Amino acid sequence: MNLSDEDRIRPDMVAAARGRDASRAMDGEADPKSASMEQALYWRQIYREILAMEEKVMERIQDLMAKQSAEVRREVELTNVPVVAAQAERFRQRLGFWTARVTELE
Amino acid sequence: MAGTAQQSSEGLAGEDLATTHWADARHWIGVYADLIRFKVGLLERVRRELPKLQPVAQEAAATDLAIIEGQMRGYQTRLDLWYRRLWELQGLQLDSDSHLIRHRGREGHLTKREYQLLQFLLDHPHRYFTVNQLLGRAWADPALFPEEVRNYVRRIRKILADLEIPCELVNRPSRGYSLVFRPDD
Repeated sequence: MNLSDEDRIRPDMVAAARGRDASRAMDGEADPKSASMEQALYWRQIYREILAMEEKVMERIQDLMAKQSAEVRREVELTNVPVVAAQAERFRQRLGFWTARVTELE
Repeated sequence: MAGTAQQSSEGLAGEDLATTHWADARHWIGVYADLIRFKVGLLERVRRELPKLQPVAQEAAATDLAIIEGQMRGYQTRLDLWYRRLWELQGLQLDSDSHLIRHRGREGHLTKREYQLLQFLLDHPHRYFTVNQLLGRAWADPALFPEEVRNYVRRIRKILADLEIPCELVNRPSRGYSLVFRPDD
């Protein structure tokens, strides 16, 4: 993701950019290309859980936003929504890698 | 950083702390109070979900927490700035040397401890403090007893009423005391 000069100094935008980098693995995460079945099943489960959590957070954001004024909605759209959406997208992609690895080893 | 309040020195689009209109200040206080309530709701949700994850996933998801908490701190700072602006526009002045309080032509004298308590509450409006928190933060004086705090609260309430300052020192069970503007003023 390319950041504009303005976005570069916004911690939320920096986090969003970093968050959607699907090549970013979690600490201790094995390489999906060479992982064993056990590892693949473990990391698939981890990403299922964390993705489910991010989706719940996004649902909560949408629920809360519905009751807010225009200014508050705009601020939330600029801050929380991109960060959570980016994180969720990364987790979704990582889950895809691990699901593919499980399928490959089956 | 236009459009986001993560850095306390800047505000949201359309926000102008130099405004001379009381209604503007009330409007932005409302916006920031709503944003803080929003983030509190979101934080509660994230905190509820985090323990359900395995430790490695908790670590990754904690990014959300850190960002939301940082945003909240920024909003809190803006809210405090707007309350200060509101006091100014309301014509409320506290003199630190003479311990005089002035409001729209009315004037009163505060004791040192009354002054310290009122100054603390004005600096932290709309937030609740228990008696023990007030003892530790408004005066940092372990010699005072909780009953004395309640006595100072009564005195501050009388000053607010005598000077017709449109705010109240409210008490909420299990939350404590808070200085809040009356919404109809």
